[in-house]
Amino acid sequence: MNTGTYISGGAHAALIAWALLGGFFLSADDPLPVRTTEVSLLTSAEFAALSLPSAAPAVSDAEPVPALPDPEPDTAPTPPANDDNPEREQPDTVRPPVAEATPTPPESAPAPEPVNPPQPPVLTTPPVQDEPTPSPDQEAGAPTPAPRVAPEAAARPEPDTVVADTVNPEVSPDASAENPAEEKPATAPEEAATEIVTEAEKPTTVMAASRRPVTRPARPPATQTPAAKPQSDAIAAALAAAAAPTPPPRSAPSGPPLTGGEKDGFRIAVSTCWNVDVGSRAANVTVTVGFSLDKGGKVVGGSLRMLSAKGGDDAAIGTAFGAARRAILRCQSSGYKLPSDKYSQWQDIEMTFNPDGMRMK
Amino acid sequence: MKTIQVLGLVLALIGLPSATFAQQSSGPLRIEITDGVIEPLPFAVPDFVAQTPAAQEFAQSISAVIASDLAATGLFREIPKDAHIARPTSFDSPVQYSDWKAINAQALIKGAVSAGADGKLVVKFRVFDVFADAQLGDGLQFGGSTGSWRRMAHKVADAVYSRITGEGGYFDSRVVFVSESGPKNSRLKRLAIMDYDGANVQFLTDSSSIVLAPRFSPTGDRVLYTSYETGFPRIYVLDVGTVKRRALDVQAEAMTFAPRFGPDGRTVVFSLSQGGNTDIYKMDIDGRDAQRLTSTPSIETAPSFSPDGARIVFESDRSGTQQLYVMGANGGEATRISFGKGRYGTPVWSPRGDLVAFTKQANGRFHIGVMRSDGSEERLLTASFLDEGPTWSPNGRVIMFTRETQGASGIPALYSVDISGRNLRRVPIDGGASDPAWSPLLK
Repeated sequence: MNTGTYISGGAHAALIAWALLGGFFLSADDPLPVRTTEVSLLTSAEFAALSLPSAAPAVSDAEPVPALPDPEPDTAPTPPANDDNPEREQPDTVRPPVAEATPTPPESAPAPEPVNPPQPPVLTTPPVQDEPTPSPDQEAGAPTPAPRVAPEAAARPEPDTVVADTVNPEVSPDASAENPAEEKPATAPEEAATEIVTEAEKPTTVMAASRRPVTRPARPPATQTPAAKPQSDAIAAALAAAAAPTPPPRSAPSGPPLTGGEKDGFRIAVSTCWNVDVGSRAANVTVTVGFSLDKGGKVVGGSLRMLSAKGGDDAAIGTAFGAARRAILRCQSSGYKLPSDKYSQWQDIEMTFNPDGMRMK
Repeated sequence: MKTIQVLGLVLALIGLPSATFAQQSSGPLRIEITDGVIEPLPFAVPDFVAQTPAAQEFAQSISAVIASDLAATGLFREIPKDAHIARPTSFDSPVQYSDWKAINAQALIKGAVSAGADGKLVVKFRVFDVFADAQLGDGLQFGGSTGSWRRMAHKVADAVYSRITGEGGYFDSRVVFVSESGPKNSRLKRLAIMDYDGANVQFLTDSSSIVLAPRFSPTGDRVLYTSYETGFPRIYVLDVGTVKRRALDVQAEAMTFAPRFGPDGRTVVFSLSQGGNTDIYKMDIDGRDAQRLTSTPSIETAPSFSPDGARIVFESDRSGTQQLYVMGANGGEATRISFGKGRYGTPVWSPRGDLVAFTKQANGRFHIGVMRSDGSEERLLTASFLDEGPTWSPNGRVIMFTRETQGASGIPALYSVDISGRNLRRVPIDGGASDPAWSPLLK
């Protein structure tokens, strides 16, 4: 297995030695090579003819440059006059004109009492799902023809979909219908984002920037291994998962490692399912998760476990682990697309979820 | 020749790490993920199973309130019921995870409701992590009268929120605020209380005098507020259960306002204005042990305790402009924490203790913002014609505040926003509303 390493190391050592010591084996008396170039003599008249500048193109009368429009005046809203702090209002002796009835004590709903939790049901094993048959990759098609300029202008794009909580298709009235439906625009929830733009950060007619402090206070590093303090449910679940049957023993990796592109593809596949709640304490937790994949790129049952975590209390760590676990399991779909000939390189994986760059700052 | 030698040396040095990497690759493949997505987590709440005929009318309503609570956080998104593949008909039936994975539900909430002839209602539920094929925590059930079905729904939602996020919820809580009606130049103001989501509005005072700035006690059973009943501002303490009130026992000739409870529920900190000077005082709720905490010729007001009761944040114009300062609970030297352009006011310490929410006025606009208690990491969450008076949810995750629209017809309304700056939404209340104060979680 290490033959390749030895050959590579030996070759590199030889190359370094040659580069450093090669000078001893060369004779210092060897004559240096001389480059020769044939030249021909020119008369001053020929040189002047060659170096004459070419005639400048004729310049037509330029049209006057249109003047830029005047900038629009700022439309800053007028702040309310001395009304920003109601707690500083001066005494007001003017009584309201109408007095409403004196209130009665509010009815507060009696507090519900927690009673004994129900016993968890005896769960039957769900039916085994048939493994989806992987479809063969589509053959590479003919090369895409080069784009051409259309002779006519493209049609106007569809109007933007209205943002709403639910997805609803656009409804347009049918003229032939007896009772034509009311026209409704298409609606859909907002897309997921990789960063948050608050209302205060949206561009306005008035600048509303505030100075950001240069440095932020350092948080004390906290590293915890869940095996030492299994307190939260999620951590207990992680430990239970760790205690579950382990995947078959792996053979030592052999062959070439994954390329950077293959690793990036894997990284992106998981990150699209990693949902970060940037306002939570779990956003301070960096968690490392270990798991094994089968040859189809699917997570081996029971192999997913938390290896380490730092930056939060038990509840935050449990939440961070839950988010990482969901990301890995959700995005595996029919298996991560990894090169099967390098299976030994990606059979076992340690994945670190580090939200530092996404955290609110 | 020398060039070739140097080139060979460089190539050899570049090649060395790959040989080293080949040696290291005998371990597991190591990947670091640093970029994720920010999106609501999809969940499914099938209608709770009615286990008795009398529970039929509550089952659907309770599951609807739970779904509404969770979706209103902006952290979760309900999958519409008509998209569900599985329709649970029994609370104890096993979960077919594949049915929920197929519609991308990441969390499933299953529950049941039973109502007895004695008017007692029992709600029980379980939460499932669909992609982990496992239940999240144990099942739980709440019992109460049929009249408290909404509170039970809020409690279920709190438990679900807590199990998924690892943090406490805020749904079973209330908000006291100033209800406003009438034209802008002669507003009628009265104290009112409601559920956090705007339901069950009830009035605590009449509108015979102007009232301002109500603040809950840490136990949620009393409210401090300022009233102009005598013609000048004076602090009152009101018992929420009986609606009985009494004036705080301070100097009768002084103007007192901006009160707030300390975390022990007995200490009150407030502003007292006398002879044209306004300072911060502290005293026992019964009027004993009055202590002056500031003594500068400037205006000091809007004090707020830290959750541990050791410090007080307040606003002062001692530097020439209105800024935020922090001092010890017994007064002493204050440290300025706000340094940005504009004026800062109405600071409120987060229940978590890490952040201070504030109102900021700059460049003709008002903002609600947060900063760390040392003044670092200032972030503005909102921007409008007039935003002011932030109050924290019990878990320190959401801020509610007053937003007033411009013009003579402008009316104040209550809005809430997540501390990330997302999920800005109006609290549905009829009429005008201002000066909200969030209660702790109800017992």
